[in-house]
Amino acid sequence: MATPEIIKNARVEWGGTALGNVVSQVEINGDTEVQDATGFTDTNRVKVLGFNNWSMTITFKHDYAAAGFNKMLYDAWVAQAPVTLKVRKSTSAISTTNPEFVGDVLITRAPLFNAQIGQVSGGQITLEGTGTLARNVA
Amino acid sequence: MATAEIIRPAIWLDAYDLRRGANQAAIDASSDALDATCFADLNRVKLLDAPAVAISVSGYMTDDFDVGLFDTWGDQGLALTLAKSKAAAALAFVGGGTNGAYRTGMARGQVRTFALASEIDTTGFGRGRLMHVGSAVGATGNGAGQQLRGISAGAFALANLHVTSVSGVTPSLTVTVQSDDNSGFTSPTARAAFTARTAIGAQTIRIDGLVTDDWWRAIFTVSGTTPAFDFAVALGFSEGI
Repeated sequence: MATPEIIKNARVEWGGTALGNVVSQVEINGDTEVQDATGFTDTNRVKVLGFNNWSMTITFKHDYAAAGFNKMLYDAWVAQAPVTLKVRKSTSAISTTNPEFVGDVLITRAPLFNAQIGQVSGGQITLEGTGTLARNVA
Repeated sequence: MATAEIIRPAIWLDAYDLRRGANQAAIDASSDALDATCFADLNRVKLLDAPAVAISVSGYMTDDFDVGLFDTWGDQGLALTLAKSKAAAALAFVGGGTNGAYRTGMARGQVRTFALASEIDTTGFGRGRLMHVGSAVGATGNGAGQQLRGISAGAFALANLHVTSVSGVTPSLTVTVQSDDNSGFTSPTARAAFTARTAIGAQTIRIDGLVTDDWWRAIFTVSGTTPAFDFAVALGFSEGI
């Protein structure tokens, strides 16, 4: 029987580069649009499912190194193109117990820089999915 | 392995150094996601458009820049530079923007506050470096050369000059940003020649590609009697560095 686990070593890959300790939290949210299809003879609401939408939210700290995440974020925003994001709960091999979520995200908001007295520079970014979110087990 | 940092940025708006009062600064870039889903798709498909940049700075108001924030209220095309630290070669975000509001708070027993909200305008925005930071500069000199990048055709760089303090008799400061293909600057090309400054002020100059040189520096000429200038020069590339 499966047991709950503390996540210590999730792997987040941004455009082919593993982000390592830049990321401290990641969340994947998927929802499905619901369309109302209720007609005159229905006594209860009738609904039909439409398109899937999904997003990923990552909490990160800025890495200002020459090829660090701050530069990757800027480059992605300038390119105005989707970035392939891969997320799994452990750096171990992908498997049925360590599935990897893969999809293309759009940089609709990029906190390029922030500073606050005494606080580590970083933040949270919600990335809007476009196209399919895959759950791979191999 | 990335290193987390608590940073103490340098912030200039026009001719005003906000660092001595600011305690929060942020740059948020955004784009609109437009729906492009068609019948063949099973999931929503979106495209990006209309990139924009918003800058927010807040903290404690000082007399030094209260007049600046008020006088530039409603202006656009203001030279804006935010750098990771106040030192040459520090990572810097460079642009021209608006000052859309004047906000200050005063309460009994509390430190007076300010908040700046700026949008980058048609001047543009780039990621680069501080080229030179001068304090009480009274003599002609050259900033250190930095190997950054060239500028592709269709892209651009922005050079910002912020002169925040001037003293002396008939003081004058002339700053030029040069590029070259070698660290010795044996055959430099002037890419941004700023107007001579005899008082505090700021200016943004756009440098259009194609530029193949990847070495850059700021040089400055000072004249007058006992002149002293506080100034900063920043260079940001639309393609980033």
